[in-house]
Amino acid sequence: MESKLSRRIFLGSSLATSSMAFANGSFIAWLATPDAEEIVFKILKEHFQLRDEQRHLAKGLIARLRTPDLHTESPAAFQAKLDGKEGAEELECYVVEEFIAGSTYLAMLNGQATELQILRA
Amino acid sequence: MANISIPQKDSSSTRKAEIEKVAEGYVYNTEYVMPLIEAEGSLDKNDPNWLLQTFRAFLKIRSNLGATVKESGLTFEKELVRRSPKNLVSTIQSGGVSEYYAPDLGVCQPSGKAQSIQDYTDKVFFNIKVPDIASRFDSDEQFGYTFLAGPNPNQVQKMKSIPQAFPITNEHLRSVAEFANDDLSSALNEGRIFFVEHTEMASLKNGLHPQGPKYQYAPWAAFAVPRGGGRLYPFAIQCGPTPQGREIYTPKDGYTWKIARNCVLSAHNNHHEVVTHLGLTHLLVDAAVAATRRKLHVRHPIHALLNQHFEGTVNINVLARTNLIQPGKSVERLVGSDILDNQQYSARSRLAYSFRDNYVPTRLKRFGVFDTKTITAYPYRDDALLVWQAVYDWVSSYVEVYYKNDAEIRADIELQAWAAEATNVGKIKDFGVSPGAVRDRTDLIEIVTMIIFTAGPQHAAVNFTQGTEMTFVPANPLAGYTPEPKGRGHTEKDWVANLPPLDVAVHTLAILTQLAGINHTQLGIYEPEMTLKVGPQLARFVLRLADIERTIDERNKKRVPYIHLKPTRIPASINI
Repeated sequence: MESKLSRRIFLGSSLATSSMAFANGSFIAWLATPDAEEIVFKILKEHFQLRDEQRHLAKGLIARLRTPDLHTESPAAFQAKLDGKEGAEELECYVVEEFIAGSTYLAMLNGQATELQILRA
Repeated sequence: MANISIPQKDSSSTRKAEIEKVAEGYVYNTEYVMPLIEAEGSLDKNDPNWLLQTFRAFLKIRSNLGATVKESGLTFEKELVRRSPKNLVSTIQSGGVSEYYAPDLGVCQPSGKAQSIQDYTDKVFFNIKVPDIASRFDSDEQFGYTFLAGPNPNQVQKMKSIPQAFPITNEHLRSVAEFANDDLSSALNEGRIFFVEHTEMASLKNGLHPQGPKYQYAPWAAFAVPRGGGRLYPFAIQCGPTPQGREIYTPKDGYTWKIARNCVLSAHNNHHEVVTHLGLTHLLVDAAVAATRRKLHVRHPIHALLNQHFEGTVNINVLARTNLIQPGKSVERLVGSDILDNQQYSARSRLAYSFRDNYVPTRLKRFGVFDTKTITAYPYRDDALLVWQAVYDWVSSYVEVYYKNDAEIRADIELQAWAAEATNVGKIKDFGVSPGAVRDRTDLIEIVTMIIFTAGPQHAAVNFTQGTEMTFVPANPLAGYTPEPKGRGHTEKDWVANLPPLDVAVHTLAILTQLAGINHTQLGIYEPEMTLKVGPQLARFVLRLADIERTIDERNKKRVPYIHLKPTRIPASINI
């Protein structure tokens, strides 16, 4: 419970500090900030038990998300959610889902891949 | 898969036992009128790319559903359970993601009745693009085109004489400006009158929507082609199987005509889902899979060839049988007829379907639509013939590598057992020229071509049109919500009232986006081991498919684009 609470606070404050980037250049622009990598990596660590040396997966996912054709929800639609009161949770869900949709996670789950990797397409 | 060979050239003493071992995993379910494979066997795997595509489709659907709930102003019976990051991963790991990402939200409260056609875009499509058909659906030209390039594109037939049950006249024909000076009798003699009928559907009970009745129809529709050839012009619709107590409507009948068009489309699309799609691709190929898995060794050349064309078929068929087509599940929500009647209709149609009489050129000739001088642009026909011939030539070259003469065909005990199984146990009617056996190489080539064409191109043509043509419900409704029209003088309000309510439109978009959103594997791509002895033949096939792709691209510059038989968009197998 303590971990969940601290994560919420962390995400909330991080999103707040990122609001300038959101306002000025949208979610895609925010993804380019150091905040983004940190937050995405923390989410991945929590949900997929990534180790510190797997930070490249967060970088890879961010690169993928910055290519609008490669993610499933339009940046505009997603931004509308972020602007809502559940923005932090939405971001967390989004990162989890896009990681599953953009990596070898399902293949690993299915026993057909041995290493977590971000897919290029 | 080393040493692909026919049994008479295989010295292995364990071959028979190995076939029997695989066959143990492929037992028949006989709960329905036709035999179906009970469950996945040892050769059916879950391909991670399929899982990935499915998951991506689900994300799109969920995103759209979320926006629908928030922005449409509609109130649904059930709540869209909010995504919680806490249990997201465990939900995905434990399966059942369909219920989570594409749930049926139930009916709208107090009612989902649309007030206008605009509601079907504005209250349904948010994060999914409105398909192009929404801008052109409400025209007779598009209505005619639906039968040539829509979801159920091989039903139109040449009329040889006026049916007693559908007494069309000169007056009906001349209601269309282009035929004002034409003559029905001459047009019939010149082979310019065509029809579509779904009269068998009169035997199906109507289904039910929780908030009121829904209807299925058993209509006739007639079309004419101008002298010199051209497109299909619809000119007469009768909304039921017989003329008693009914009128025949023409394009001059305003909104009554539009409701009559809805009746035809509803029946045509119900037939599409239940017969053309489910019965004559999924369930037909199911029997071919069963015979192949049960009677051919994995090293048999025909097993090696067909294996790629069966990827994922058992998986999706088991899911369809145990879930999608069951009472209370998605198909029942969408189609007009009672689901149990539909199950019977599907099985009946599949058992009555002559495999041999439906080889693509044979069927088109039988239906009187092979000739390109009358219906000059028939996208399904034109593209399907190219792909059929390419598959036929590929299979011919493949068969010739493994069978030097017809005697080798007759001496192949596995192959003969395969044909017997497909005919006698799988109940495929007219499986080749001598059902129950394979007569010669030509017979085998035709049978295998038909299996591959049905699993790949035919399924692509009837599956992916669900996304482009059917997600915008007014273009292709699957049921009517008012009785067939009586009299004339109907209004726009009556027309909209006949269309599905918005809760059905929302669920249709979700389900059909899922079914059309997974394009997994590609025609012409095989496992490397299978290609060892047939490299040059396969290379020719692949080049031929590339040529066809270019030809279709050129054709699409001159017609409403028809993309579903472009080889790069044709999966090798039925896997969704």
